[in-house]
Formats: sequence, structure tokens, C-alpha cells
Amino acid sequence: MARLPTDEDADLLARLASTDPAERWRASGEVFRRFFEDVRRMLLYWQRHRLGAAEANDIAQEAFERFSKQVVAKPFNARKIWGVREYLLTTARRELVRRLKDKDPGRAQKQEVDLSRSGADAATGGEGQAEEFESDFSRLEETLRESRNEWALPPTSSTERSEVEMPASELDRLVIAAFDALRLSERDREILRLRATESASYQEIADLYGISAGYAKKRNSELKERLRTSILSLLSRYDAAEASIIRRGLGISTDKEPSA
Amino acid sequence: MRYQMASDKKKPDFPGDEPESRTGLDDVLSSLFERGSLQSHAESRIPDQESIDGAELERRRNDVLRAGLRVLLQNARVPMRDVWFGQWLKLVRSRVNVREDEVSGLLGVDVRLWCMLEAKPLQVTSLQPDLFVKILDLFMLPLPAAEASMRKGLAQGGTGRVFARTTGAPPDVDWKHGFVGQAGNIRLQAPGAESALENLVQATRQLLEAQGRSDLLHESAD
Repeated sequence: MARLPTDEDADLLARLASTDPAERWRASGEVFRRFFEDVRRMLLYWQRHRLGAAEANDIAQEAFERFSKQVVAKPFNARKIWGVREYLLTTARRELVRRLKDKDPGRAQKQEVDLSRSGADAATGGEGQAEEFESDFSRLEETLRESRNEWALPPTSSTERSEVEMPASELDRLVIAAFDALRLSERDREILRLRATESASYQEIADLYGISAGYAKKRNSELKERLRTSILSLLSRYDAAEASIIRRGLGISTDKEPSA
Repeated sequence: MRYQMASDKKKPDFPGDEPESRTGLDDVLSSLFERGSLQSHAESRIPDQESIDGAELERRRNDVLRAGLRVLLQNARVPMRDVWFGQWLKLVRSRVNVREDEVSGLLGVDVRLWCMLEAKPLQVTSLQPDLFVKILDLFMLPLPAAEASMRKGLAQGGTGRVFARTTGAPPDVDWKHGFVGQAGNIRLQAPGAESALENLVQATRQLLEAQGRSDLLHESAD
């Protein structure tokens, strides 16, 4: 789980950036201790149905071996501890995609055909796979909708939300509430995360989930639109001045706000 | 400011991958994801049988460290012209500032055995072939080069003398874990040592062939 940097993290980063290659190599062992389980589980999270635990372990190890070789060759440059985690996750994800392509070259070839079209064509060209994707996940989303209770803004009292760490700002709380209200599938959540943190291209997301790059882009756009709508619906609980500040802060135009 | 990998700044390979204009919402989303505030419950959903046990974790960690150390040692290579095998191992190891226990730990031998290996030429010829293969692999050293260096060590030691009589392994060390022969004492004379070296090279060659390690079977161009 990502977390805020600590003094220990700062020490690890300093060691990874050391001028002594042996010290950087030793630090790579510490990186393994801290992040291997995280990366391994993330791989299983991405591809639980197509990836066995043993293969996930191998891919995660491959990512760490590359990292160890790279930090020995030159100092690692990162200012935040999640730079290391993101780096490892990206390496693992790319290795995962490579293996998926090896297993199913036909699918990779089909995606290359999709990409040979223009951006707009590619977006529509992915509809066949998009339908397949939708059928996979619509049932899950439907089930979630059926079981969905009336949600509400997270309470401002930390005691009422004791199981979740209280966000630092009202803006964060609002976005979290709007995000939770969407009840996204795992894949949708990951598409948003990978794009929001800028750690994956649309093509990488497409390879990861067996969809076209065009569809990945379209889906990300749809998800963000749904999130904006969800935020706007929550704004009705704020007074006009507060809502205006929040809209400006998030860059959401007023014409999207639903009528009361 | 967030860290971004250089590889992410490459030219987009999909027409829609050009950098998009970011809004305040994008920044808040990014921050919340990075802080774990929007993480899913994926970890709790992964079945227990997919967990990894401690022994495998340690084995994989050692594999990762070996991969990094191999690069480290490779970058610190020195010629073998004037040194025998154990001296060369020590020279390269010292050059990269890696301790004896770190190397021996990754090879799975007692550090005191490793220190003996670096100390006397004759002891090198008594190596267990599988340990020798691990050393060649870690130091990326072809067998012919190692063999030549070991012969040099024997020649430098003189002929007909008894080597290493007083350098027996400490009593609590599992001698046979790393070396063939009698525990605690080495009484090989130089002719016997040459024969031991022949046996070691032959057994090692067979192991490397079985593992398909042609890179370690032949002298490299450099």
C-alpha cells in the first residue's frame, strides 16, 4: 500500500542514490524486502484469472532483478519513495504484458491492427473487444448496484469513519466520496489509477487488459466524466460559494451540474 | 513534484497517448491514488494459497541480489595474468567493496570456507564442482580462464611440497559443503593437487554442459 515517505524511506533513497555501487546494491536488497510482496500482489490483482501465483512471483522477481542491475549501474534518482514502487510496478507490468503477448500472439497482432488506424478509428475499432470487456464486468457492476446502499458524504467526524484514514482536506473527502459512489470494477479503477498517476500509456493499459488502446482511452474519458458527474451531484450539499470554490479547484465547469 | 521515469517520456506509441491537459481533478486523483486513499481491496481478495512462504521469498531475494552483484563484479574485472584464482576472487571482491560474508552468503557457504578459498592455492583445487560452478557464474568467469589461473597457483606454490597443512577448517564448519577431501586438514602434495584440479575441471565441465552454460565453457574474446 502506498504511503507517505518516512525518515526510513529517505534513508533508503539516499542509499540508492549513493556514489558507492556496492551500497546501492545493498539497498536494492532492502527494496526487495519492502516492495516485493506489494508488486507480487499487484500482479495477481491485475491478472488473477490468467496468472498463477508462481508466474506472478517470477515476473515480480524479474522486475526486482532488473532494478538491482540498474541501481548497480547508476544511482537511482527519485525524490519520493513511491517513485521506487511505481518504477517496480511499471517494470513488472511491462514484463507481464510481454508474457501475455508471448502466450497469445494473435491478440497482440489484432491490437497492432487496431493501432494502425487513426486515433478516432482506433477508438471505434476497439468496440468488439469493448463489448467483450463490458460483458465480463457489467454483471459485477450490476451486482454491486443492486447491493448498493444509499451513500452519503463521508462524515466530518473522524470517529464515524474510524476504519479509513481521514483525508487532509475537504476536497479530498469529496473526491473520495464521489469515487466510492461509482462502485467501479477493479479494471476501471486501475485504468483511472494508471492514467491519473501517469504510470502507463494507453497502449500499456490495452495490453494489460486485452482491450484496444482506443478503448482504453475512451473508457478513461468515460470514467472521468462519471466521476465529475458524481462530484457535481454531491455539490448540492454545499452552499453556493463553497461549491463554486470546489468546482474551480477541480476544474469542473458549471454546465455539468445537474439541476436540483 | 512527482517522480516520472525517463522511459515514460518517450514518444507515444499510440495516437491518443500524447500528453493530456491536466485539471485540478487529475491532480487530486493522482495524489489520492499515490497516498493509497483510493486503493481497492485487492490485497484482501487474493486467496491465501497464493501467498508466498518465507523460504521462497529468501531464495528469490538471493537471486535478485546475485543478479545485481554479478553486474557489480563484472564492472570491476581485473586481469588474471599475475594472480592465482583465489587471489583474483579476493581482488575483484575487494575492488567493489563487497564483504566476504556477502559473497559467501549468496553462494551458500560458510564465510570461513570462503576466506580459506581466498587464502591458499591448493584449497581451490579441492572445491566441490557445484560450488565452483556457482562461483564462475557469479563472477562471470569462463572455466578455461579459471583453470589456467589455478594451474598458475599450483606452479607458484612449488612442487613436491605439502601445502596448507596448517590451514584446516575450523571444527564447526561443514567442510564437505564446499570442499572435497578430508575435513579439517589438507595434506595434498602438488602432484596430488594437479590431479584434483583435473578432476574438478572435468566435473565442472560436465555440470556446465548439463546446464547449457556455453558462456562459461569457453574463453571469452576479451
